Amino acid sequence: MATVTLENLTKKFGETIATDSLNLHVKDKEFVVLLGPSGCGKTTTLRLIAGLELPTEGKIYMNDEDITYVHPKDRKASMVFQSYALYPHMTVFDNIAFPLKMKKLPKNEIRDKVRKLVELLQIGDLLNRKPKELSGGQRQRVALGRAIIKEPKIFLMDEPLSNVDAKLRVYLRGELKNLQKKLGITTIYVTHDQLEAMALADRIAVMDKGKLHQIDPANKLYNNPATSFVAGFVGSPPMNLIGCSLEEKNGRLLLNTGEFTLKVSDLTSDPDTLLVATSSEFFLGVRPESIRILKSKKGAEFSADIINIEPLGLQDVLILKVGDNLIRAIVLSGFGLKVGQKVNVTFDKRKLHIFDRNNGKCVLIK
Amino acid sequence: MNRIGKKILGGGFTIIAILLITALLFPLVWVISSSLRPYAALYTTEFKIIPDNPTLDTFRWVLFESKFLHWFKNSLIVYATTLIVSLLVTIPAGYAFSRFKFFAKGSLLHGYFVLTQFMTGMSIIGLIALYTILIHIGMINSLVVLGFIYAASLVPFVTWYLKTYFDSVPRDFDEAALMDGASFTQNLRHVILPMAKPGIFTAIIFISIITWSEWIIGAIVLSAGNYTVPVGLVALLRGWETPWNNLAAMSILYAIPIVVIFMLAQRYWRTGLTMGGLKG
Repeated sequence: MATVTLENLTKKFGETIATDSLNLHVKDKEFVVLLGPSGCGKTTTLRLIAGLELPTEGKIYMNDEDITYVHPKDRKASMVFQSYALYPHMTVFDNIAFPLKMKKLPKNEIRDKVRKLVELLQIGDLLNRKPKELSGGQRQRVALGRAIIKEPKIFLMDEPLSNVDAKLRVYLRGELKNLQKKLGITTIYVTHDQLEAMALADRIAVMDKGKLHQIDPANKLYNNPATSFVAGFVGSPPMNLIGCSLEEKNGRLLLNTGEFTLKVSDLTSDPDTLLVATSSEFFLGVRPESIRILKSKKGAEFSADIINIEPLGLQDVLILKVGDNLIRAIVLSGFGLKVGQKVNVTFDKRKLHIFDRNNGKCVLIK
Repeated sequence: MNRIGKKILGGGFTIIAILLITALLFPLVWVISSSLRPYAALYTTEFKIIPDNPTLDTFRWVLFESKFLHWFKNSLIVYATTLIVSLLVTIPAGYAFSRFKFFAKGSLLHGYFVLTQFMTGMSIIGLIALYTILIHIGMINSLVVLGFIYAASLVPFVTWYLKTYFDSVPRDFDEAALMDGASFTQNLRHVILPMAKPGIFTAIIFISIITWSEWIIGAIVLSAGNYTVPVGLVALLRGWETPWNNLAAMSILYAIPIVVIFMLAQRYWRTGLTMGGLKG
């Protein structure tokens, strides 16, 4: 039973702001992933919650109890490090038993607890090995074991899967998710891999430059990105962001990209939402799969050159050039499209996004 | 380069290596050879590695007639004091310099580095001052005080050395131990020190070699009853009548502990002890 709440959490390293007044609430038993590019402050956030760093400002609560300045060992949190940090001079048994030994538990109690846990993790036959004799996946499990044995109220994980190869990573993340559900321990997990984030998280918190952009389940993040950063970061290939400005012609609101013009009334039933923006400059956000290639010019918004095709098997990613903009589109393969060809393009207009160009905020509420 | 050329080059290196090893080992062989000679056979013009009528009489003299055992005990007292005091100071200091930020850390470290250069200067310039000070505070001719002096002269270099070694132990381990509920001392005892073993044993070997063979400070600080072995050895020199065969035997016996320490610590000289705990 543990919730974690961050309140205006700010951490500065000299002049550098690592986290900028973060507000975040993690529910009991929830699996929250902090996602963002490197240097976005996600690891710092995790270390602040662990108590390995102290914040410059702000508070951290666990179950409404202020733990901002509580010593790490009294926070009832376990951490799995990116490097695992298994003690190389100890056997697997000693590594897992270490937190209990530090608590000075009786020896037979320690042995029983470790035995029970290694059954769960299926590493019972490795107890007498040293970390250097283990494979990546086995080390991962030992590191998890060391985190679980403490019976923590929260798990903190710092890119724990980044050191195993791609195939194993997919397998381990499924296992990790199951384990977390089974144990029911609130988990905060840091990664820069959006697929991993989407596979694991109940909710994903997207961060950039120390700020929290959005915290939502993966689907909502994908379908309703709150900012242009989230739109450009989540999804592969990411959302196309095309600069445009708002114009009024004959009483109608239009978005002009320089190459083509869209009627705002086609995009939303409530065009006035655009007027709350800070200026008339916007980004038009188009998911690659919302782009349609047409046979004729009829109904097309513009025509574009195919400058590259990335075949993905079932689908092809087309890289289209219109004016100075490069646009990525996903189409079913097998239509015989060729590099250099000119194609007619339109959009799935109800699925477009519009962001304020000044602050990146989504202005088209759906 | 063709294969024959490589072979010639390899052979050349082997010959050079053999010559170097011979040159390095020759004094040792000669000392052993001398220790087996009767006094009369010391000054022969014949070159013989294995002397005529070899004898172990010299060793009997060292063990039962000379003051060797008494001096040896003194050496042990000085050595133990030096080792304990210097490790007690340098291990926490090296760890602190490696891990913590504190006031004037940079200049302190710099100062330490300058001080490491003092050990050689000490024996020349500082000795008179040291003697005067010890006389005035009444601490002359004490084995424990000599141990402290050795320790003090070793602290800067050993601290510096251990700091660099602790630097090579990733901080992740400190943090993992912290998260696992280890206190500061538990972290040092169960995690950091075992991982720093190769560094600590190297430091011990360094301290042992310097302390065990030190003569000049010992000669100034100690009086006859309190001689350490090196000081005593030199006191046995009597010009043309020096019993080199006995001195050779004493030197050999005196060198045994250092050889033992070296052999015991050698297995910790393997690098890469931290490998395996981190990453994949």
